[in-house]
Amino acid sequence: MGDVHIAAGAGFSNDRRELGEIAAQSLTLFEGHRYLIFECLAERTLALAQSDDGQRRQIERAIGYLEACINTCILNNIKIISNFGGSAPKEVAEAISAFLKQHNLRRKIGYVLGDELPVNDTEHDGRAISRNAYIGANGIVEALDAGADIVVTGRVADPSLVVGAVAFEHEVKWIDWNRLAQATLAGHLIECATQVCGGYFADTGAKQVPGLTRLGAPVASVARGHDKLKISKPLGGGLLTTATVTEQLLYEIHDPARYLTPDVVMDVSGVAMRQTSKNEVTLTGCVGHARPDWLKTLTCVDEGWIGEGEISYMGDTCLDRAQMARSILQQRLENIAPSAAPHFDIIGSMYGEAKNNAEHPRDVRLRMAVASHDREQVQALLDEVEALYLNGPAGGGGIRLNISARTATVAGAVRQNEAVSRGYLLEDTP
Amino acid sequence: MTEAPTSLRMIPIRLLAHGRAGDKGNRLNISVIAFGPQHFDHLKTHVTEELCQRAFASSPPSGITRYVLPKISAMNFVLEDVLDGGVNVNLKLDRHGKTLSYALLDMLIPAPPGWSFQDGNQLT
Repeated sequence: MGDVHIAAGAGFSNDRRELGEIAAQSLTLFEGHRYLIFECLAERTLALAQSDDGQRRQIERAIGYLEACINTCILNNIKIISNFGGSAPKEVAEAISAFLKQHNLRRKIGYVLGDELPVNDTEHDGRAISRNAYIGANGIVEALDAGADIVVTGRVADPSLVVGAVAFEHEVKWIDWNRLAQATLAGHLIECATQVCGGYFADTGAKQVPGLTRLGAPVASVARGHDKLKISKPLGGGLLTTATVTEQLLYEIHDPARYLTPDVVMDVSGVAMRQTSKNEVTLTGCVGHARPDWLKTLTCVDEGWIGEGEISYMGDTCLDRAQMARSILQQRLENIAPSAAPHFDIIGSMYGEAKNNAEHPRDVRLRMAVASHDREQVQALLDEVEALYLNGPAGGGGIRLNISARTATVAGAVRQNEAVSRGYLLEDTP
Repeated sequence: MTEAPTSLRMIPIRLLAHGRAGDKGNRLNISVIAFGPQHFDHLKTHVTEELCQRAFASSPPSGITRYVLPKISAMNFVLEDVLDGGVNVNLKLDRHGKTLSYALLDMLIPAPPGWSFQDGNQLT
């Protein structure tokens, strides 16, 4: 019957590991149902997880996050929900189970399946790597209902991690659009963890942030039956004000009246907020509309390789020499690979070049980026940057070359009934 | 240039507002949030879709939409097709377009009437 308090211990796949423990400690200060979430999936994380190496890394990450906070969570009956299951929620759940057994810790582990869709070989020239639907909170509720203390998911929509906890504890009906929207807002505000409480905010003047070396974690508090939503930051550095909350409220939002999720269409166009205490903001006025009858999908497509090469120049004439070097590369690439379409930046002069600024920069860095399905060709084009050491304009240095996999993400849609998600306990695997 | 009268003095948006950029696919959104409600109407008048278009003149978006949220003294600009295909294929240095909030916040607008530099960049 009590309030639900949800803290965020990670906002991306490689966030600070200490944050989970700060988040768990913060939750011990609240009475009611306590949940810790880790949001770990960016758009292409699932593509990166397809290889054996990627699979191993996603397990290591999940365990790394748990290692830092599991004792505090067990002692204080804090449940954990995370999409750190990535491309293989059940396998990650099994690895967590083995890790806990090894440390004589007992927790019931649940997982959610149903986001993975078959890859269509005829599309994208057979280069599709993975295809997933953004599923909603229902699988999380099923796993919690079955008794899970830790719920491991794959591609659940980020705010649905919080919707799952609230819907389970407050028995929210799947057509109670305003309650679902409020829980979605709670999830949206804390899913990037510190970004709502002083992270990614600091600047000079009025945007100074204390304690940036050890930021605290945000806690969302949802009370049953009224539309007030509290966001607070009880411990650690940083700050939580109407300014930090407003930046996160609009982060990655397009039409504020229609934020589409698998659970609900959230409408924040009438939201109001008030600083109700130091590091605590209360929001009202979020409403919901019927969920879309389709789910967003993301297909990861192998687009070969990106090569990046950089070289620095110093001194009064550095911009002229960087432009000379760029011109050399442009002409040589035209002969070697006419279709290469290289992209150039002169870092340090982004304004100077565009605005014809009289104040010229004192040091700049020329960057060339190329893409191709042929890795050897990418390497050959980067060799041209390296050759600037002896063959380019005077005083070039600090060359760095890098090749990385290029994975495109293509958005699509399926009807809700084409990607049915379910929650399970590890014991009763289907 | 000689000093213009106060009402014509141009100041960067960032003295009156703050903001953050976010990406989804090939779309970018940039929030512009007044430091205090007293300057919101002034910002609404001057921080327009046209001004945003000028901020991105060197690689123009195919469309810009502004949403206004008066209750929180904020605006949200949505820019189409500025990320060269999106975060994962973009060849630009900042693939997400995360730094682009400051391209908008650095744009100059007239200072509000009676405004002095001491008023700037203050949270209320």
